[in-house]
Amino acid sequence: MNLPRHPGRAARAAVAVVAATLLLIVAACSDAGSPASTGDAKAGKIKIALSNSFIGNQWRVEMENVYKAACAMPPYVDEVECSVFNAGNDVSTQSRQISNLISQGVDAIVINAASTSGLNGVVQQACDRGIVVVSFDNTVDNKCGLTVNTDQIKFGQQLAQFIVDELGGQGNVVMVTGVAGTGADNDRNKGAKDVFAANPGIKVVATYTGMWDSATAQRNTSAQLPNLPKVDGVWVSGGTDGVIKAFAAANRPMPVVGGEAENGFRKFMAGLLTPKVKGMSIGQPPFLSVISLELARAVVKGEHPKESITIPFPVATSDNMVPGETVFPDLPDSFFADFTDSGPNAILVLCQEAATDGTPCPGKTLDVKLPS
Amino acid sequence: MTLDSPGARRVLYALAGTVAVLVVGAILHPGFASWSSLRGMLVVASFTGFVAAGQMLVVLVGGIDLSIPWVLNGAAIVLTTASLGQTSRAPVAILLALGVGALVGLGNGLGVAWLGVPAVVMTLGMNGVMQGLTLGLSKGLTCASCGSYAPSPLRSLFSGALPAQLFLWVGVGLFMTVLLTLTTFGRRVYAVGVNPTAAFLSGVGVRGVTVALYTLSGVFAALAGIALVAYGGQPSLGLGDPYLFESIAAVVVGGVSILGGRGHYLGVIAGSLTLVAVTTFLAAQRVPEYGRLVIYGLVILAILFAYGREKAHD
Amino acid sequence: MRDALRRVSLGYLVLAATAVAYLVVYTSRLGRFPTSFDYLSILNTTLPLVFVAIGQSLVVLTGGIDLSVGGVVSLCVAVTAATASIPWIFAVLALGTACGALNGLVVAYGRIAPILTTLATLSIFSGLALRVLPAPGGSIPYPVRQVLTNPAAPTGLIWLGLAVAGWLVLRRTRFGMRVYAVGSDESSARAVGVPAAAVKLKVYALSGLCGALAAVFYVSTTTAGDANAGTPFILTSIASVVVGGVAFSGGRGSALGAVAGAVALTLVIDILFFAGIDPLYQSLFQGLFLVVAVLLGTVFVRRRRLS
Repeated sequence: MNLPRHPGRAARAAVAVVAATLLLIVAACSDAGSPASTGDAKAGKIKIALSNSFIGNQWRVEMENVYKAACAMPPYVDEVECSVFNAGNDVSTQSRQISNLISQGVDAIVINAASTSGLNGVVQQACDRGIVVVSFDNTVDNKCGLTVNTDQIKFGQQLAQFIVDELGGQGNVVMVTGVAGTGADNDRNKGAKDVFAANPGIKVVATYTGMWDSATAQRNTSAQLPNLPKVDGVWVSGGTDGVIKAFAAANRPMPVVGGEAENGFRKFMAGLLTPKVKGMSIGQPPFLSVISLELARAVVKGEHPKESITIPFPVATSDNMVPGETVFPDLPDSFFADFTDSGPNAILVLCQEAATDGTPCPGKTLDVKLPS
Repeated sequence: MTLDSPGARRVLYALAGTVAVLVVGAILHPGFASWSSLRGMLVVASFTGFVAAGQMLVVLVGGIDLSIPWVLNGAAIVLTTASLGQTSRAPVAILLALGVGALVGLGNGLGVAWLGVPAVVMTLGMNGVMQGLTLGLSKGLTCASCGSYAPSPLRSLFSGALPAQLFLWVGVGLFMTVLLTLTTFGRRVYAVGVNPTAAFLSGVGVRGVTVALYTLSGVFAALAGIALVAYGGQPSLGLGDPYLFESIAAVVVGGVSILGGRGHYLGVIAGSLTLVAVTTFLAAQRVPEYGRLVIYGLVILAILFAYGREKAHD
Repeated sequence: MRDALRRVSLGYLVLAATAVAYLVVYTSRLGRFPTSFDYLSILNTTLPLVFVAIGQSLVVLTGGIDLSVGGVVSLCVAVTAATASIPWIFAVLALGTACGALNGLVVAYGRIAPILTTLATLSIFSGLALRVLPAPGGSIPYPVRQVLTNPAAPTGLIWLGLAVAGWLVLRRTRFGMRVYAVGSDESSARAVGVPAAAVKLKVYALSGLCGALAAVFYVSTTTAGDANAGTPFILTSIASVVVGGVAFSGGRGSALGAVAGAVALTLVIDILFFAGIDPLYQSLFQGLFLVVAVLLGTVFVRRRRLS
């Protein structure tokens, strides 16, 4: 609009109303956000803050929820004063928040970074002040911090190997990759490409990005499918349920699928959604945040050496789907079904409320067994 | 006035651009322009087409709508949480979702037309507001009713050899064409776009027109949200993010002047298809991501040079 | 020119308000005043945005907009971090200027609207950045870091001062006058013999140079590169310019306002941090801040004009 105009009295009134509303909302919300950070720190309580980058996807929401839930459960509720901050995909914002945490004098900072390299500077400053820094998922490169992560190259390899084995080393494979320019995407693709290249009978007929987003993966797959020959296997870095939906909508025979831990994918694997899909689902577990919390706590208390941790992936196949444990019929497709570890050697066990609402699991002490 | 020759010529250029991309694609990648392939691309392009319809309306009066991503996402979540997957609740849920879009659009329009906030700022701010509200109210899509699927009549939009979604797009196309070329309102839109001061002096309610257009843009973003939920079954967070710049690109590749006052929706349909065809073709040729971005940019530049240039200054 | 002064004062006003709010929430939360560590880290993290905002404000002053700053910053960050040598830093500055000049050529001589030109080149530059640095990494020579953004001394102030001084000089040159002339009324400017196309070319090239400077400072503060580093700067630089009181119609405002806007936006992050806002609602407040700041600005300007 380039019409010259001058706001009049109505405009000023509107400004006043908006400004007043803004103030009211700030006042109303200001203490709702970080319940654990209010109140006086009791003697001996250690302060651990979670600095997350992007919040606009479900994985990050769950990751924060399980963190909040863990903080409200023993032993953390008695020992740790937690707080949570989001920065968005903006390195400068996250740097500011971490600087502020340094000013606040926290004992440890748990980080899921906006960029694996972008926080090196500010993390160095935290380390210099004796603050324990633990990063997970999108970890911080700076070696002065500890990391808790899964092996992303292995992620790519294991899913690719599953597909190769299921196909008996023969067939056409499609690779749906993630967000280009990130470390995890590079590593996952590398792992998969190595395995496929080692099997001459496997032909990679298409590689395109799904941006780790189900809707994008579905759209791109729909557009690609008519141009593809028979597809025997699909390797997906993220957005797996979208890829399957595109195959189903196009009435194509369902390939073997190796993908992430989206609940929707698992619903297909369990036969809760049709067609039933033969597949392997490996997820980056959202409870990495809780393991990082435990590592941070243990290191601050001197119970654990200052060492980084690599945890194994929770792996699920279409043969071992258990509703309520590895697949959740009532939760959204985009939910990540691996919010808790399971089995006899589980690192930790969390309930569904912890992941959906961030509320503590009833009557439980959270026992996190750090893998050595 | 509305079918002036430069405007009509730009639509032809836009269509020619689409045909050119398809022909080049078919030569280099046999089967690229087959009906099944085309159908797949049309369905994908229809989402862009919906948001671009709204974007085009505000661009016609020299505005811009940057609030599309989270209006779309918010409406998508409203649809599933209000319908709970039940067919009987679908009509109410659809109206609610469209209502959310209309309300936000109205807010944008009032801010731009009455309070004099620049469109870029108003809609950018509104996008943040909607993102905060959407995340907060749905608790990051983990609310009790967030696991519902879109009602089955909606989901059947995408089944069959000739998906109903494409007819819906044709419907949007007819609505836009009739609205802009056959109604008084449409003539006023072009008049405001060409010269708002002159339009004001000749008795056009410039502010009213502007508010109506932003409201419609919100409605179209919500419509795209509904369609995307119907397509994927459920909403996800970040559903609308790809459509911020893509809606602008589709409008421009469709021959609409970014300065306002010129353009037809037929061109925008062609523009949406061109963009999807280029992306699909590059993926089919297995061009890596960096190459895809570079070529995508070059194609847009080439199209702009072909028919997106402004009049020369003397 | 008097109007321009009024608009500049809006940027300062917003900055002053956010600075006061920052001090209030900081002290009420921590029970003490911010320390030199806080000021220094604000300075160092704001510098990249400050440079991008200066470049963006120059373009907006001519009535244009530069969406490609995201791509320019990404590309220059990628090259700076991947090469990690001092001579290459000068090459990067040249590269950024060249990217900007390309925009300028297309806008000024190709007669394609700025928003469209830069939307297309954004994609091109981002793609090249991914080619140069497929995964985050790289480094920067230690001496560069000590000189540009020393974490222990306010070296950043020198560069900030130089940038501000550069603008003050530029504004008084013939070129500076012409930037305003082109932005206020391009036809009139042409009529009185201002070479509008050449002015625009230079302005876009300067914006590219500013993007490159921002990239070098970015790599210096973070010590490494990321091919997606520039993306957030698209919207934050526009927001800085807006909060700083530069008019989108062109010809009104100042790069100094944009600098104030950039610092104010950084302070808003800190205010939200110390106020303990629910993270899920955070973007709501950032959105409202943007709209309210601009609304207050228009009303403020109007009042002044009336009185």
